[in-house]
Amino acid sequence: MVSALAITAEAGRLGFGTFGRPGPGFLPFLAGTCLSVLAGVGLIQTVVQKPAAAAGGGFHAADILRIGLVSAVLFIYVFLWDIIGFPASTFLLLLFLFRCVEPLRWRTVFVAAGLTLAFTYILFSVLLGARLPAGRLWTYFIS
Amino acid sequence: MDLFYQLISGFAVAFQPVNLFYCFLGCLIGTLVGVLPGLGPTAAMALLLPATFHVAPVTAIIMLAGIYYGAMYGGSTTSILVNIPGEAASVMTCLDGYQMARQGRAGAALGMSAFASFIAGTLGLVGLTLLAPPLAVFALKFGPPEYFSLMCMGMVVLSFLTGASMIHSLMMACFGIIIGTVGTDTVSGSTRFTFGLTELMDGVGLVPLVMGLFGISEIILNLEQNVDRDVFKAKVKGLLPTLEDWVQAKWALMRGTMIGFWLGILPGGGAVLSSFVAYAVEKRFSKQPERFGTGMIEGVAAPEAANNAAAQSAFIPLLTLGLPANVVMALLLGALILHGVTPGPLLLTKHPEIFWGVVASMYLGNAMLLVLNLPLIGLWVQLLRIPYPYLMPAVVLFCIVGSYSVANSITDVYLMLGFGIFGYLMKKLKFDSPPLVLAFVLGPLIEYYFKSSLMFSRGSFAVFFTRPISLVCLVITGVIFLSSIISALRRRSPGLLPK
Repeated sequence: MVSALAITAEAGRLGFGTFGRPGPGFLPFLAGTCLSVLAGVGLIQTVVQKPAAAAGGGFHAADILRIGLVSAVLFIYVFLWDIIGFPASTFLLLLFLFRCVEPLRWRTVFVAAGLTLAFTYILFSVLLGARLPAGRLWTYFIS
Repeated sequence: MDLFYQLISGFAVAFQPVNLFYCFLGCLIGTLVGVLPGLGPTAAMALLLPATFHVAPVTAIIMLAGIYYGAMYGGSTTSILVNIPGEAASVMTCLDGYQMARQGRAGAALGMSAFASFIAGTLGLVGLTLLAPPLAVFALKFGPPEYFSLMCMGMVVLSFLTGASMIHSLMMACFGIIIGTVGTDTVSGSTRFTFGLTELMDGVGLVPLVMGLFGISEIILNLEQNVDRDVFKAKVKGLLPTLEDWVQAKWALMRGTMIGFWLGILPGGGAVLSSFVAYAVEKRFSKQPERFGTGMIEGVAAPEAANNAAAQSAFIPLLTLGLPANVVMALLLGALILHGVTPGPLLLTKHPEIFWGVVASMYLGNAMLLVLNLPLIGLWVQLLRIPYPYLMPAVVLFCIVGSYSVANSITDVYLMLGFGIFGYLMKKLKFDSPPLVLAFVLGPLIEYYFKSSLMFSRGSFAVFFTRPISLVCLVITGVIFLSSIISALRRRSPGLLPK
């Protein structure tokens, strides 16, 4: 609801315009207002509902930890693209995913990570022509 | 006769080697995606969208469409052999398909599923071929108010049908519209919700949004569930259903096709809903409803026919009105726009090669899928035996690199990861993603038609209520909206409203 109100306020700042000449904030303002109203109704429903019925899908501490860890690793992985480049960071990510999410033997982990990296690199970089980051670190050493 | 010549010209396009190859590739990937639980057709299409930028629009749509209807075929294999739906539209096939497999009739179930899919898919295509051209002519009468009202109706119907809570679905739709407005406003040139980031000036990309909401979020969700797949061990044999099977299933197949075809056209209908409705109708029509769920061939034929007919008929509103009936069609709409083609009534006259080429390729694709799904069934069974820990890292990597390769932008990857976490939280809190994606794709169009209508009427809202087509759409929207409020009130306080 707070987000919806913030969106509505920002949309109002963009300029509502007139009905005959709607401005850039016209639709975001309407959508933000609807979102605020719906969020308000949802909030009232949650408060009025019995606790058992209001309970959501359920978050467990162990799951949150594992999901939080994987999400953080993914963000760090993308951050590392620019520094150590796509191949090195991807190999490290794959080692983590193959080993830590569902523990596999180290030899399997290395082979699976190497094969997955090779397949992805050939598919996206060689066949589809994507410019995957080489990494500033290596260019620094080379130059 | 004109229709026949146009269809022939479509086959000339579809038979070009490059289109034939991409059609086969789409069907193959679709079957693969359908067979493997975890990555649905929407995520697969978003993942492969960047790969289509190098080919002609018709080739791109042929491949993406192939993934969609291919997944409908493939999903049943997992349902029958593992009792896990390969994708959402195959949920109902689990009930009787898996029981048939346990009774030693896996081959008959797989065979009936493939034949029902083929027959319903082909009949759905005949309906598409016959219905689309007159509908496109009718749609020429539509102006901005009609399109605005039609799109509003589509979003409300989808919100009504998809989620458990209409409020949650409408909130997601509003949020989708807001995400769709991020970037530079094409009329005034001012930037909206960019937080000063130049990377957001062009708006949020469709691929990062869909990959995050449907790919990454699904993987995060699977991290907290054990994805154990107990694949049916016995050898699959006797793929051709017996004459008795055909006699038992013929009307179920026909009814499933009809239900799927008409529900597929409706906004929010689509393959999932049709398979549920077809199964329920079949159970009601049956003389032995109590035997459903114990291995009845009708319980396989009806939902499989329905989801495949719906997968074909969903193209009718997209190609003739430019209105996506479900989230997959919204993705196809986005793909067409990215390729510089605007779907709608003028598609048939301005780009007949795209319209008829795609339709003709779907006839060919259906035949290819029959070959892929029957003689190659052993291959798909082997694929099902690949452990999930081997697949998950590859899927994560494909999502990340796929969203990066659209514009070689790291911001897109961060956005995708953000949407992935957002999508996971929304799934846990029982908010559905399809209304968000549909609203995101339709948002800019809704804004354009809404502003055009108001400028045309000099600021009078009466323009939406004085034009008959627009009025009908708005009345339907209002009725659906009111009925959902009344049913919610009834559920909450049974004595409050009379029945």
